[in-house]
Amino acid sequence: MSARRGGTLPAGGDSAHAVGCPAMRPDLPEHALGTLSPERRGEVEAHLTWCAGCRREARELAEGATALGLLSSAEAAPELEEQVVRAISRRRPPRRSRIAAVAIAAALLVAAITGAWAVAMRRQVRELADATAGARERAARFEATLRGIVGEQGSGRVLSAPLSTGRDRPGPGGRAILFDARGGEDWVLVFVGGLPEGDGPYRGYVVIQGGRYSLGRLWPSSPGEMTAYKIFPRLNLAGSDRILIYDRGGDVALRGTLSAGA
Amino acid sequence: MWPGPRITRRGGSVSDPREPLTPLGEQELMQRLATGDETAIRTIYRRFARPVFGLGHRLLGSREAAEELTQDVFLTAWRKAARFDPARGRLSTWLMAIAHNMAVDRLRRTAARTPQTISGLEDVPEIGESDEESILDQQEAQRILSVLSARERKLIELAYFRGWTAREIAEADGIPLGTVKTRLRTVLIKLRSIHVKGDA
Repeated sequence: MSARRGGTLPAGGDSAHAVGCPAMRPDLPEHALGTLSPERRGEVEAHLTWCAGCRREARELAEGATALGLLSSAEAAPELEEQVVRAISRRRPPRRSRIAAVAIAAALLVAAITGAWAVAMRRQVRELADATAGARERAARFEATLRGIVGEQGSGRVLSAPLSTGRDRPGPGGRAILFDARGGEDWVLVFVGGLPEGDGPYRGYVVIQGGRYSLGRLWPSSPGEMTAYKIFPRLNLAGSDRILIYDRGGDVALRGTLSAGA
Repeated sequence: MWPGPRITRRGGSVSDPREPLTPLGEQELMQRLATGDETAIRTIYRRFARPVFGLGHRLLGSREAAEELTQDVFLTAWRKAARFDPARGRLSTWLMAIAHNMAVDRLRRTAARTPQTISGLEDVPEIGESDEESILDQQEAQRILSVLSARERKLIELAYFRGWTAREIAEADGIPLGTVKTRLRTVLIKLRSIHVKGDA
């Protein structure tokens, strides 16, 4: 059982525009050259997550651009190596998460509820809700576009699952989209918002009858957000029924049940 | 000082920067980099500092800016190391794309872009060195550039080394946007073919 590793999309990619190859191919050279706008770059990279043909073209163009980069090879100052090593070595571990701060604040609230604390908590909860809703909205736009393409082409099947903590209190959330290519490359795409800042990596799994397939390590693509995917070139995900995402401590952070409903 | 041999064109094993890296070797190296392993940091630096610094110098125009860029590129590579996927391309491609994107972003932020005479690419590498590495670099540059016509060199100078968008090039040259995009693709495919042959 082997599966190609996935990756993480850049933040801000508007997946609603992740349309067919004719709209994307002309921009692949500029993608390789790094001259696309951040918005367009996000759209192209969203497309590349599920289109193997364009991904191959993008890789070949990037290799051409690499040849250009190598033209300018030159010697840096000898001391630069030590600077780089020191710069990486002295990096601090990730900051304590926002969610951890919220938890501490909540504990203090139990002890002594004050108006100021209550206001701060409401703001945190609202931010969390906004971040989660944003991730779900991006996923919904992507899913709608994907379902349109699948409907036109008449091949493949789309399953999706709202992701939540499964608990009553506010927390991160999002949506997972699974594409069953029915003979081609199956893949899973995950959108999550409201994650604790600085947290990760997470581990994701597709649960299927009798076992589960790993989505690998999932990293937030920007503070509090995660858009990640994995392609399974040789596995059939048709019987998948759940998505589970574990945090670094091994606890289930998010879960969702897959369904074919739009 | 370790002499900093060229790496990506000839490749290298994890322990020897002059031997080719396999995709598995690249993945292992990046996994070690993600943990902050000092040996991995130095290995990757010695493999790629030369082209990264050279690219920064060429685009940004000064050694100071190039050194700052080089440091930032390796810091970014460390932060993103866990996301490196050998199935999606070589480490050299991944790292040089980071370097080029960061350089172009800085170029756009800091440089006032005015129409200039196109100098062409014949002068690369442009940092005056006379050591063996530099001579080999010049030979390699000439080999790669020999596949391009004058028009293609001008095009790539604008797009890659100055960060112009296809639309800006089309407007400056008075040619259709679609034509510029098609030509950019043609140039990149040509460069890839010569680059891949050179690695073989």
